[in-house]
Amino acid sequence: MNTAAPSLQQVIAGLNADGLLTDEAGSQARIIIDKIRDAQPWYIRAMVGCGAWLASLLLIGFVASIGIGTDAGVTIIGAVLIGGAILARRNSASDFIVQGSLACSLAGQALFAFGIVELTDSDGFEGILAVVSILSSILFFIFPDRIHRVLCVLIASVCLAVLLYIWEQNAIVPVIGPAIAMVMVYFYVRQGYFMQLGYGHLIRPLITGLMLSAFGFMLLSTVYLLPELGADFQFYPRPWISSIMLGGLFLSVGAWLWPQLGDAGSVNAKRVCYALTVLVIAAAWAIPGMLLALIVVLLGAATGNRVFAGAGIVFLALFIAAYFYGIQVTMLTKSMTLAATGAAVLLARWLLLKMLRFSSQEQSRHA
Amino acid sequence: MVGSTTVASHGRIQELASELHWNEATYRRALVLAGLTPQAGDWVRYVSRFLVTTGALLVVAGVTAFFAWNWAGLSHLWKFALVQSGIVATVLLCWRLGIDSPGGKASLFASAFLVGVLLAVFGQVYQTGTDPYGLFLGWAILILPWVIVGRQAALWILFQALLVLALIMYWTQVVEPPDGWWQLSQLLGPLVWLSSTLMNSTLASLVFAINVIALFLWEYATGRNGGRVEGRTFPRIVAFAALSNVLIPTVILIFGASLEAGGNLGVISPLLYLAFSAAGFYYYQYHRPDLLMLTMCVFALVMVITSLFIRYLAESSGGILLLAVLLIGQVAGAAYWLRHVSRRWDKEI
Repeated sequence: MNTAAPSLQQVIAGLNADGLLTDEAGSQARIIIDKIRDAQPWYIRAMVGCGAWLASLLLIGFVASIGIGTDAGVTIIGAVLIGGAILARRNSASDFIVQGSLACSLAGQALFAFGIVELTDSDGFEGILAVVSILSSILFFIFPDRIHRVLCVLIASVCLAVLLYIWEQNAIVPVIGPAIAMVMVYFYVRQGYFMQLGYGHLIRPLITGLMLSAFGFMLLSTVYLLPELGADFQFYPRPWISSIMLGGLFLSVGAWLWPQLGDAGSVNAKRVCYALTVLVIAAAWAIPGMLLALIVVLLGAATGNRVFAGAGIVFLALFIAAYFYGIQVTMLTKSMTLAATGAAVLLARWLLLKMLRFSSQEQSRHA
Repeated sequence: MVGSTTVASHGRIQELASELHWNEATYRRALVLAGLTPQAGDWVRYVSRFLVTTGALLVVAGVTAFFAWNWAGLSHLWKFALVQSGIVATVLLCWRLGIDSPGGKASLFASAFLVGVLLAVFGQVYQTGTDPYGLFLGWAILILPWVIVGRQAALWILFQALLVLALIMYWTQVVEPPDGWWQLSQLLGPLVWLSSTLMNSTLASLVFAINVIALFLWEYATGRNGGRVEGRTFPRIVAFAALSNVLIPTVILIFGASLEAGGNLGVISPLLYLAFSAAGFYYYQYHRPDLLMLTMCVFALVMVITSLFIRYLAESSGGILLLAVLLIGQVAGAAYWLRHVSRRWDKEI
């Protein structure tokens, strides 16, 4: 990475010089940069956010305390809260309104789902989850807020996971996490295209929500139920399915990133690199979350996205800690798995650097 | 606030691209111009660092798991040898990497932490019967030279935390051994138990005093001793701790007084809170401008005022509505005042 940190103004000037931005587009960009510069520091926004959440909950408490006891009343209050939140958020971007509308919308969704389930006499908990999932899918598009959109994706994923367990479809769970990760990688790689189409406001929260959802599903693989409590119930059956899928994804991400190595990456080096990736995948057979963390870190590093790379590193630490404290395998097995993966990673580094050095020496000799 | 130029981060470029519907070529070029797309050389360096760190951490985790599996079967000598080798290795690593490099700092912190592990193993092997406060105090004294030499916030925070823990342990084991719910809270885990110590105003005030002394010494020494104490991380964390030590008992007292459940809480906590708050507002506004410190002070004030309103107003629907409106007013006013102060500083500069 470059050590100097260019400013947004320099980037815009560079794009202008390259002929990629018109003067008018450059002026619009400068207006947005001014808005970014005027943003409050995070701690003031956090304070305003806390106040907004509490005030919103008090307002909801007030509405509830005036007593609309019927199911229809609860549904209407829920709908009004959601509608009001959307309206407020569309008309203001102040920190207080952003956080307050978020709280009102979430409370509104809970009230609305509860009211609908009671009105239709459908099966309580499953009904609420189904309504909330549908509501989240709709609100993702119409609620104009990034955090709300991330939460919509997360809420829908949590509802899906719980419904799968309620319907005793837990055999599908090991497929869901990697499948979500695949969708996330697809959108991440193609985000420039979707921004060009004008979907940038949707694509960024979608990617973040999918990443967090995939993390959540993979963390399920570390949960272990005592046989005495769960009888034959398997919480995360056949985790190797996740390892295979994520291994494939890891290889394809590697293939996408390979051109960035430029001339240093000869055909032989590429083959060795793939072989090493397969070795790491094989070593991490029992810890699929590690592969997901590596994928996210690589994507983040490839695009200078520190938030993404940081999220991957934090998840890696969290997953290993969860794996370490799990009791489904003995400490000796954990020791062997972790040490073998670590050794594979170190071997991969050594061979990779050796190949790249050899490749560049060959090129300079030919030159 | 950011300066006159705005650093081009990945998120900010995404924001611009989204708002202005840039095409893919413009977006990718912007990432390159911002220095966010690594070149081949950058990649090799990055991959090398990442793989060596990850690989080493995984191997260390694997070795740790192996010893955890076999810990009970290890002889005393092996246990001591393992921990002491860790201390020696991390100190040597710190010396090799340089005490001010990130790796060196992490190594020195690890060695300071391992000193505590060594004391714990010592107590386990020889069954010394020493009270835990002795362990924390001894640990703090033993690492003090490294803390002074290390010049890093993390080491000072560890040292401060050890002093506070030693005081809490001494108080709860020697001065005033608690009973009832306090013992129950110990069963719920260290965080719940430590939080419960704030239910005793005398102990909370003593912890507050330790934190305030550290804060005072740091602020006094800043800029006076050739850079031995630098940065704002340590004073901010200690100020947050000190404020919590008196704010939480104050808020509990406001709610608890009407329920006649004040327990060990006394009027000393609100008095110390008022004094600390007033000093904070003055010092961090006029002597050492620090917006984060002022935000902490103002948010604490909002919490206290809101608690008073909740106690006296939240008994009817109208009261709840009034409370919500008052809260909105306070937070909006606080944000406005902080922005005003920040702009005043900008003008003064």
